[in-house]
Formats: sequence, C-alpha cells, structure tokens
Amino acid sequence: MAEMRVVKFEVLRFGPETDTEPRFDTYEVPCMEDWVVLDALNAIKDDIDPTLSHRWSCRMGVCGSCGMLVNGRPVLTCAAFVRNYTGTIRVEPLSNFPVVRDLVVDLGSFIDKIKSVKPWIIRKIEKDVGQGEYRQSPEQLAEFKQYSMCINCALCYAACPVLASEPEFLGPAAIALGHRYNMDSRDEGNAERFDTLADADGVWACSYANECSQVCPKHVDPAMAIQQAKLTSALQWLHVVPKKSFT
Amino acid sequence: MNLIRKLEPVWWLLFGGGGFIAAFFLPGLIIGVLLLGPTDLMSGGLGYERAHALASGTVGKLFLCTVLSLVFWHCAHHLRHFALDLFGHSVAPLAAYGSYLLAAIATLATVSAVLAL
Amino acid sequence: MSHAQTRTSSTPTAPARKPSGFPLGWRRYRSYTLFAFTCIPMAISGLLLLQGVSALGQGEQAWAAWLAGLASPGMVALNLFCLAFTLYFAFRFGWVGRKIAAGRIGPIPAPGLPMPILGIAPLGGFVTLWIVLLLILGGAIG
Repeated sequence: MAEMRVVKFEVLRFGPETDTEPRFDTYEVPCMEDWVVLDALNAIKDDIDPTLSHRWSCRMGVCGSCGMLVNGRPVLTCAAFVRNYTGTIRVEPLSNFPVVRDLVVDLGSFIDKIKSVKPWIIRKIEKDVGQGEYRQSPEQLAEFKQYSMCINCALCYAACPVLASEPEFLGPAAIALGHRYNMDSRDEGNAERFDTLADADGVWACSYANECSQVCPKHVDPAMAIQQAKLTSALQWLHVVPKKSFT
Repeated sequence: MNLIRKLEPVWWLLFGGGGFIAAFFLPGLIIGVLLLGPTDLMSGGLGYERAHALASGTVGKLFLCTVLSLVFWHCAHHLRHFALDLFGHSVAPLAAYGSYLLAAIATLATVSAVLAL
Repeated sequence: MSHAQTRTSSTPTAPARKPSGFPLGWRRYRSYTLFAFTCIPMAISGLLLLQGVSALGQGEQAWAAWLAGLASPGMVALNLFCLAFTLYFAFRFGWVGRKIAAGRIGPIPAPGLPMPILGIAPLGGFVTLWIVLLLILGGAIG
C-alpha cells in the first residue's frame, strides 16, 4: 500500500445561489507521493465534498482546461505536483476572470479576444483543393512554430498585471496568436488583423511585465511575440514596412 | 484620450528610441558632467571655454537637443505606464496627458536653452 | 476598440479577482517595478543636465557656479542615486530587448544568434559609448 501523506487544501468556494461572495473551505486530503493538485481536487470531489466544481480534462497538460491559482500562481493543476509545496496549499480560480462557481471562471472574454484576431489562414484568393497543397519549408515553419503551441489555458491572462486593471486589453494569447498567423508564409491577412492587434487596447497596452511568459506551460513566450509585434506594427503604422508576411 | 490612443506607436517609438539614446549617453553624461564635472579631472575638458565650444557647435547643439529631448520622452512614456501599474486604469487620462505634457515642456525648455548657447 | 464584448449572461458571477502581490508583493514583480521606477531618476538627471546647458548659456560665472554646486554632498548623493538607476536601466533594457532582437521584423530576418549574446551585445555598445563620451568630455579626444 503506497504511503499517503495528509495535505491541507484551502479551496475557494462560491455558489451564486447560496453565496454573496467567495469563501474558503479547508480539506484534509490523503495524497500519494506522485499526485498533482488536480488529483487532490478530484479526491475532494469523489470522497469528501461532491459539491466542489472545477474544470479538467486530459490531465496531461495539453487541453488547457485545469488552469487555477495554486498559492497565488497560475498553473495547470495537472502539472503541479503536491510534493513541491509545503504547508497548506491554497487553490483559487484564475485571477482576472469573473467566477462562475468555485474554481470555474467565465472565459467568454478570452474566447472573444482569441476570435477577434482572426486566427485562421486568410488568403486573398482561396486555393482550390485541386491546385495542391501549400508548401512550407522548415525555415518558414520555424518563423511561427513556437507561437502555435498555445493550448488556450488562459494562465497568461490570469498573470497579466495590465489585465487586472484594464479588462479590455487584448491579452497575451490573442496577440501571440495573431502574430503567429502574420508570420505564417501561407497567410495573407496581415492587413486584416492590423486594426485589432495595433490598437491602443492591443499591443500598445502591454507594459512588458513578462508575467505571461513566466507562467506559460507550453513555452510560447507571448511576451516575446508582443514585443516583436509592437516593433512590426509601429513600422507598419509609419508605412515603412508593408502589412504582409515576409516569410 | 482618443488622440493619445491614435498615436500609441509614436509614444512607444519615442520610448524605445529614447531608451537606446539614454542607455548610450546618459551614464557618460552623469559620470562625466554631473559627478566629475566639479573635479580637477574635468577642469581641462569642462572649463567654460571648451564646454561652451563643444556645446554650441552644430554637432553639440544637435547632440544636446536630441539626447535630452529623447530622454524626456522616454521617461514620460515609462512614467505613464508606471502610474497605471501603481494606481490602475482610472488614472489613464491623467497619466498620459500629464506625462506627455511634461515631456513637451521639457523639450521646449531644452531647445530654448540650446539655442541660447 | 473594445474586444471584451460584454456578453449578457444569465449566470451571476463573483467579480474577477486580481493577481496577488502586484507590484511589490512578489520577488519576480520587483525587478519589473524597479525598472519602471528608473524613469524618475533618469528624468532628474536629464533636468540637471538641462540646468547645466542653461547655465552654460548664461556665461562663465553661471557655469562655474553650477559646477561648484554639484560638488555638495547632497548633489553627489543624488547623482550617484540617479547613476545607479540609469545603469540598472541600461543593463535591463538591453537584456529584455533581446526578445525583440531575436525575431523577424518585417523583411529583416531573425539574426539566429543565441539569446544571451543578443542580450549582452548591446551592453558592449553602451559601455563603449560611455567611455568615448567620458574621453571627449575629459578633453582626451575632440
């Protein structure tokens, strides 16, 4: 029988039908050595308190569903090992998003912002299937590949200090995604994305705190994408550089 | 605020460009003039005749106007964002108008001081 | 242009919670806040230099008086304070700037150099110009 260590979890609870504001419930959870925080949350729901609500899916860091604040830091709870924390572990829903229930937040604004940068290949004239595939070299792929690794977990939005006071900020994931498509050799939509990206609430609201890149579990480095997008957009605004992909 | 928002690329380019200029020249100016200026080490180089000749030549005037103005515009943009970090978005108009107005005044003062050389 | 469209939701929600500890509560925020603060000492230095230009334009006596004024312990302390923050600014500006230098900007491709090199290279440029400017001001050149 594997050894279980009892760990105390302080979990934010909020139920709109019963609570006027969030509160914290404490649970003592027997945890195995290799457990992650998500395992503990599932154990709470299965064995201790079935009323706890939280989002999760793949439990292996690719779906982006289980993002929460653990001891104040945005992490994927499926990747946060219990053994790496000492004392009571505090679990809260992602910051900068309204709380629907317990650890579940309203991601509507995040989804809208992602959609607003038109994250798809835009062509002036669509290529017929019969005309064959788009060809792209490894070098062309390398121009944007890092920025394509985003799993839409919204940890970067939870970490961003600008978003804390300015909810209209387009945000790291959306800007990085827009930049990803602008850097894609198959794409011809740079001009179509410009007004959204190069807006005062777009790249220009970023103050380069770099918190987004610090918390990104897929090493997308959205802060880097944003700064590169700033310089590119500034030069495009001055009409020194045309609004197109150069790759 | 609309005008400020339309010109965001301008403020940022001044911040970045001004940052480079500041990084290149400000430490040398602080050490050479503000700290070592009164010392014997600089009595030859920064005696009135030479200092005035350096500063009032065409290159000197261009250097002083450009470097000092860009430093002020860089600081203004950074101050604007610093104020937003500290006080939140409610101070956005004051932070923007206030800091850029200060930079504009400092730039005018710089140009007039340089022209008076 | 606002991208946070207010969706009318029938679900009541609790207000968004702020990230904890910003701007000084966490160690990792402190270098960012320190960097932001540098704008004030740098502006002070700029204003002092502006004062010097003005003194220079008013003649020999004004210039000598201004220089002499800089020798007071208070002014030395202030200028050392400003220098410390200006140097911190320069190092960090080059270092965080390496991320912009690392990527393609329009037609100019990414330089393909390792990140640490991109971060340290500007510092070489900065230090070179500090030395050159000191030599010019000191009278060794020009």
